[in-house]
Amino acid sequence: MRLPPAPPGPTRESFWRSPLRGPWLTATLGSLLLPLVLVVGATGFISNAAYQPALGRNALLPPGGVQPFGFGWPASPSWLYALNQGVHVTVGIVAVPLLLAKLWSVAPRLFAWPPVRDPAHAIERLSLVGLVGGAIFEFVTGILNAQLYYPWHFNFVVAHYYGAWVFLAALAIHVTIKLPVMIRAWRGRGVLAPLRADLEHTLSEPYEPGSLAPPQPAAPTISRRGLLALVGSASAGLLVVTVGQSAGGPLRRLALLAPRGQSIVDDGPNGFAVNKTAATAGVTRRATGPDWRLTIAGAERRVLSRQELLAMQQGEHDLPIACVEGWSTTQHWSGVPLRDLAALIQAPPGSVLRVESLQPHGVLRRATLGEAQHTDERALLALRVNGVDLSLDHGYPARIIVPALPGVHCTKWVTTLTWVRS
Amino acid sequence: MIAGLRRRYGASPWHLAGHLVALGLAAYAVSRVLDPRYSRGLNVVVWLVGGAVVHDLVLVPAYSVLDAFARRALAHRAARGVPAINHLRFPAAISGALLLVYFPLVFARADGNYFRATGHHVTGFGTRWLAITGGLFAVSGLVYLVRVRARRARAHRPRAR
Repeated sequence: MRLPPAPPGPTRESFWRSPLRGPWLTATLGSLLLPLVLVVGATGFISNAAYQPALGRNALLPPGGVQPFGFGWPASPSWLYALNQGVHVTVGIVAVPLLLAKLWSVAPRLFAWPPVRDPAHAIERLSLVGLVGGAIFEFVTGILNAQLYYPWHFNFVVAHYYGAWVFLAALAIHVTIKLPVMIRAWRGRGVLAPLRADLEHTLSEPYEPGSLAPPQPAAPTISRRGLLALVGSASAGLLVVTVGQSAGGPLRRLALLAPRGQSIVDDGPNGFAVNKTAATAGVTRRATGPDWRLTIAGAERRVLSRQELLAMQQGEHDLPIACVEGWSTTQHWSGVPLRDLAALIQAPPGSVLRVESLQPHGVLRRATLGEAQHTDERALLALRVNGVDLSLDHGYPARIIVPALPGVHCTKWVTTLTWVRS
Repeated sequence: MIAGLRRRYGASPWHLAGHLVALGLAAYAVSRVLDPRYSRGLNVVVWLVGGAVVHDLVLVPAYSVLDAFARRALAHRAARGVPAINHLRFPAAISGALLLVYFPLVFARADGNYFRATGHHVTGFGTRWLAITGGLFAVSGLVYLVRVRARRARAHRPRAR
């Protein structure tokens, strides 16, 4: 069977004129992008494990299914979760220009003629829908979620988690197939040699049908190293306006566009970011007034007022609080060590800690902490921050602060702590 | 038999097996999200495929056409030795990447959610993006002028032998 010749337009190889496109460029961009997406993928699965989905009602994903990365999450080092999320979000954002460049370099392939050569080609193209669609889906949903923008009709957590499986499955087969092509490209042209050419010496790669190199290259207007510098400077720009929301310190003022960067720099001891205000959570001044009591339960049961809690031995620690959305901030917290409260009611050994908030609704009004987390000496029921009482938005009268615990599990407006045998 | 499969399929049996495993895993993952408790209809499939379609058929043609337009407009300057086009491409690429990633904040698309979460309204992001963009083009333009002057000075200097 003979196919008609390609119609005029992008289906003809001669339509694509850029002298930079070719196997070397795509191999190089792909090899730069690959480690970044692997880091973003790994930190994403680690983030899911940090929620300890096996405990209580911590799981945000539907039960069952492929969740192979579950393990007890440690409480040390205290910056573990902040680092993981900062890397996940910042590296993901910084990889965007590289992803766009990689996709630009293979754009002619989308229009390849004939659209399907044989069954192998058809199944390969189908997996490329998963690869390109999955990659863009993961980047778009993650980036929009960090800006609290939800123009879609699906659950972000579930879709972002399983979208990663679509992308990584397609990526695994793609890398396996393309590895020999990459090696051939570097063998033929050298790994770094094409970067030595300035604009005057920039030549197109030799044309072969279907090789991405153009049959009729235009005169170059930028060198290959110039293109990499262009991509690198766009990534660097994103890094500068983003990383401060995770790194903190003076860099936070430089985070000009990050959702929790410069815009959240406030004065005062309670002037740091929250992920939900008291008003949004439905927590009122009245519910947190002098009548507020904390119930703690284990083998015994006690009810404590805030005055009684303040009268106990207070622990003080500098600890980071880190959001799944990537931002974090280290503050000076003080309050009652959870260990001391556990001793008061004779918590059973090997127990998990169920924390409940007076927040009337929302999936995160309760959290369950593993033993390593609630027995850490720095794990606090915090009452004060930076030398003053917690503000209502930061969880007054009392909140959980545990090293390396995901921010949304550092429950605010705590009413009940129950130590139960796991 | 293997040779027959290879001829009819177009690649080795390993190619087929690998793709079937990958596509099977992907189909399973999509089916997990299609649970009506977590997604409305096929909305998640629309987003999975739609992102690639919008990228390939809107974003790539759009920036390619802009680039071609700028190249044509600056063609007369290319001959002078300093490629002016790249002094547009660099600020445009950086500014464009910032806008692509942060457009919801730049255009205050989710002020309600942002206020409910942070207690602050989305303010100043658009102004800051514009200021960054202006600064980038200004710096790039200055570098261009410096490079053109340096080249002219070099051209007029008598060559030392």
